[in-house]
Amino acid sequence: MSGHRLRFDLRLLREGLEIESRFGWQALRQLVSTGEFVEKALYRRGTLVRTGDRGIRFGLLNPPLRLGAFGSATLHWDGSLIEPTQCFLRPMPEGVPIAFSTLDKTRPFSFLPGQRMEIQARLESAPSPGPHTVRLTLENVAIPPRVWIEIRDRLSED
Amino acid sequence: MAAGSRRGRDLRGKEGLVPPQHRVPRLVAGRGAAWVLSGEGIPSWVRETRGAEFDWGGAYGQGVRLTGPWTLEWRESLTATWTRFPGPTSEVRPTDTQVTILSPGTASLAQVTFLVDPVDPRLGCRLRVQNTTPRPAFVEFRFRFQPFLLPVLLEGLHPWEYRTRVRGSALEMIQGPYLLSAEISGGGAEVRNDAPFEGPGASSFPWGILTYKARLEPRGTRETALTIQGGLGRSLHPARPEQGPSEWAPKAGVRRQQEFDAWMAERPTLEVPELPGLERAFRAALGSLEALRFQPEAGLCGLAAGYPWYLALWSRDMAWMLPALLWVGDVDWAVASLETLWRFQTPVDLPALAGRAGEIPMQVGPGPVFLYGTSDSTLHGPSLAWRCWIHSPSARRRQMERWGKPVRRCLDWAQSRCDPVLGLQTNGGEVAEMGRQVARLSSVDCGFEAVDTTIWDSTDRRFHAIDLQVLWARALRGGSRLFDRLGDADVAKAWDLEEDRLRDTIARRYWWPEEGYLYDTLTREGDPVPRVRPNALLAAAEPLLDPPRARQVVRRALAPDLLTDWGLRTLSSRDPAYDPQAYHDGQVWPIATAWATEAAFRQGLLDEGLRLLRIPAEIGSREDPYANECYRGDRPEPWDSCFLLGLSVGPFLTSVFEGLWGLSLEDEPEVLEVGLSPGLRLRRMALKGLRVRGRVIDLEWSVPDLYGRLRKGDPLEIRRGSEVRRLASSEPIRL
Repeated sequence: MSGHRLRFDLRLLREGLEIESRFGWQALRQLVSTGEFVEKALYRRGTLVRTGDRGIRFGLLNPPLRLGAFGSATLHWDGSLIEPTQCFLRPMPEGVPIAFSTLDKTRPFSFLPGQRMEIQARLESAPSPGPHTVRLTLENVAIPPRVWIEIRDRLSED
Repeated sequence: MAAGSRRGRDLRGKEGLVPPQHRVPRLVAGRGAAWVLSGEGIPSWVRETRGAEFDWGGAYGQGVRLTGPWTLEWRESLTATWTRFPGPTSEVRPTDTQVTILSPGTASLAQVTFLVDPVDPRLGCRLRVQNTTPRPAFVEFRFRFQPFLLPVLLEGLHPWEYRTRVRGSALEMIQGPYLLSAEISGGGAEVRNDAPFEGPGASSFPWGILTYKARLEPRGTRETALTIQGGLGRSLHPARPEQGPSEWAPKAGVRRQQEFDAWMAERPTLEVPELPGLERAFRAALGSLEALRFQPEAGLCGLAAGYPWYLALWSRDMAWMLPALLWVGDVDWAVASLETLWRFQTPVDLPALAGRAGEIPMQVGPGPVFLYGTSDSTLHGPSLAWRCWIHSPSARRRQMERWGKPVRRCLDWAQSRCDPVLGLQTNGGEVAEMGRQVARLSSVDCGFEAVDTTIWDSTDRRFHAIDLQVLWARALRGGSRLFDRLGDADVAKAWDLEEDRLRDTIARRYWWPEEGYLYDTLTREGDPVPRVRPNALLAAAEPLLDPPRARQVVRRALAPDLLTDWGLRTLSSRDPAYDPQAYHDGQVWPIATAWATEAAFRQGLLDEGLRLLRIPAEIGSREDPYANECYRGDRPEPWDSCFLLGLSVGPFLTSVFEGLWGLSLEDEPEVLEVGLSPGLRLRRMALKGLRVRGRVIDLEWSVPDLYGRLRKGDPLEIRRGSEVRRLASSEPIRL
């Protein structure tokens, strides 16, 4: 463990102890379990896979933090924006893929609690195996500030 | 009010105006549990939410959504197909605290009553079936639901992992620390779940199924009951045998109604013969306030922000409700609510929760789970403390002598957020701070790109929003007065001087001569942002502006770009950023209408005040018994709106007490001020049963005179203009 990591963990530990001493053990336990739940409830780890030469896909178990109708979506792969015509949302298990480029305020897609969604994209070049960062950003038609989810996972073969 | 009327009407707005998905549901709420039912009385209700449709119907306990929507079915022979209950000829009979559906079958009449425990996180229904023929009959009922089991404040998420098990006559469903236990009583009853735990690979959610079948004697009747207990598994107590569904249900229904009646009996009544809609809206708002009283677990007391998706304690929302709760006389609940906020005020920095020393949390949910990170919640603390003090009888104040520390922490927190050059509160960056903390803790980051957290927290109002300056002034004033009473005159004086400086800065920097209005905010450098929002009205309701300017502000706000027939928009329709369906950039919010009402009356613009009061009178009586959160900016249609929101209820009530009646309290000497002016174009009105620091008072207005009468308690001085009289008996005193 690096020194940086050690400092990080100690700071977190100190904050945890502070919460425990001020607000009680139950509060600390509940806060930690809520954080863990949110992480698990959004992205199904291990679903980031390569499809064909340049394709990738991954699965979401829920909308990221906000339910509702979304009029725009963008996807970044390792920090680079992917062309919206090459990105698709597919409601699972039986939905039809919707291109990001077809979305607007009058033609949004609904993303509701418990709705599984597969995100598919075609990259400009073949992705390398190993860890990657994917960021999905969505804009709701009623509340403008965008919501985003960023996933760090290893790319596996389909 | 007449019991039975509050939830008794299904008022859906003007015919054809409100689409079916926006229609009024039915809420059956206690302090720890609630049913959200459709207009026809079943736990399934689809509501437009954030632009999409979602079914919010079902059972809630301790702020946790326990179940998704339910389906109810029945049949009158074992070989018949299941029929949806209720049928097309059913009748719904709601009361204030429960909802009954009556539905005729071929050979029987079924009655299902949804009810809730007044205190515990327990709810259920009674089923009564009567054979309407002279022959033996049979009936079978099936209740189906899926578990949800997640705090409502985690908007947008649905768990995918459940454990389910049947224990005797109870079906238990568990998700993490959350649990529900469903039980049905009586012979012929059974529970089952159709899907064992499948984990994250499950293709669908499990179903809980409760069935009841009975053979009925000719003309005979059978009864059963089912209950759901749920919330945090660790805080639930197993039902005692004497509290099985059949024993619990009839008692719970009676106890909940008694509690409601007792609470309402102690609240004031408003009579305005010339504005009957206002009377109805006032009664409905009282009932809504009662339904919002929320005590999910020991140590958490307050008012839920709203139903269905804001079912938690939100500090900002409570802050706008507590003044109304004090005026309607529920001082104990208001004090306990503020104590809850003090309990979660952090005395030290807590970066993991985005909390800074002295900060009051943005929200508190069951667990407890709490998060900080708003620019305004903490600013409300000192003025709320002062309000509680001024409304409390002397004996009650001993408890508040401990409040000096939390109040001081609030002001220190605010001081730390003051721009050192401008001397103004600074807002912005709070959500980004939260995002940074989440990124520290998780390999899956998620967040909002919101840059700001004022009351309009989905839009950018950086860096010195006008409403924050008003709240800062109120905080300084409240803190000063409280510390003066607590014997620390030096601190009180310092805060008075700070408020004087702030008043001067507001007058210099926010006045917008071209509009006769106040700038909405200033940039980081102090340059004005010329944007017309209703938030400036808060300044016009306070002693912060010269009266001519304050009146100009009110009049400007009533121009048609901001004011509609259904209330004030959050942003002028002339603004390039205006969008009629943007939450905080064009939608109409009733709280903004209440701000305008109060400002108009405070500035002596009585006709304008009455005009504004007619809006909630019209809408409130139409939506009775609830109060929508917001409406589209271009038509009076709820959009992305909770059907009941405390931010709509509380400020409306406060605008009646402090605006229409002009009420205020002083404690040294003890005086009730009534600000009614002879120019008010109402010939007669009355406010009866007003509770003022242990007294009960009736006020009657018969133009141009005010009559006061003491019904109970020690004598009290009452002031109107320069005239002061002593209320000492039930004999009316004229002022």
